[in-house]
Amino acid sequence: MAVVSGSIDISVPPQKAYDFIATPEKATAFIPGLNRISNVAPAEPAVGRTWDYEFNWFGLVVAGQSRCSAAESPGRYQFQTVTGNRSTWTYRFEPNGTGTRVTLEVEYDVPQSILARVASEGALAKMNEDRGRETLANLKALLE
Amino acid sequence: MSIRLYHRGSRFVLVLRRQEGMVSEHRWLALHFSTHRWAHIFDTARKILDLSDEPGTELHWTSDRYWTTIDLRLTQGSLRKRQLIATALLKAARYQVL
Repeated sequence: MAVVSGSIDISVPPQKAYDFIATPEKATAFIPGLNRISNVAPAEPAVGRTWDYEFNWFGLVVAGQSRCSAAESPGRYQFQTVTGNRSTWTYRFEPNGTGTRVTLEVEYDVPQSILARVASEGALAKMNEDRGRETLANLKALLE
Repeated sequence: MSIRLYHRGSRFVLVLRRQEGMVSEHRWLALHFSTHRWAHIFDTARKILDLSDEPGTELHWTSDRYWTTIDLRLTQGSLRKRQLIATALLKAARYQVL
């Protein structure tokens, strides 16, 4: 399993940041390459909530399903991709003065066949780190 | 998980104009053989992005039989925020499930 993580300070209360992240439909606005979220059920954020996602990866559409695995408002929100390549996305929200330190950690499986195609585990890790940084920067821009 | 070449049920929307500065202005062109429920698509997208009551977001469209022109004007927020909102609304125009 590989892990990428990063943090950013956002000038909003933790509850506002948490509520934003805990709405799956909003993710297309700040996660690069994520084009569609659908079939969110049930409507309220809770462990067990599922949704379908469609992601653009090098021109291909990768579709799958995710499931909320932790909804500890306003401190921690976590979901897992449950089909295909497994990954776990954990957001933590810590008060930081008048704002919030948002930390994102993504743990993911890297199947060897994908490694062969991208030729280097390091390049894949770098790409995911860059994507994680961009996700947090986008989140900050949208919330502030 | 599935891997495809395209998003099922997506709409063909081209970017005709993108102007960024103190104000962001975008013009998109959707080509179609049947009418789309643009009011539903954009009302849903604006609600998701918390833009329904937000001043500074002007979104208009004009539909003809085979095309729709969509104009977006964003006057508030940082440049990055306006770019993200425009991208999210374009994604909704193309991919939002009805």
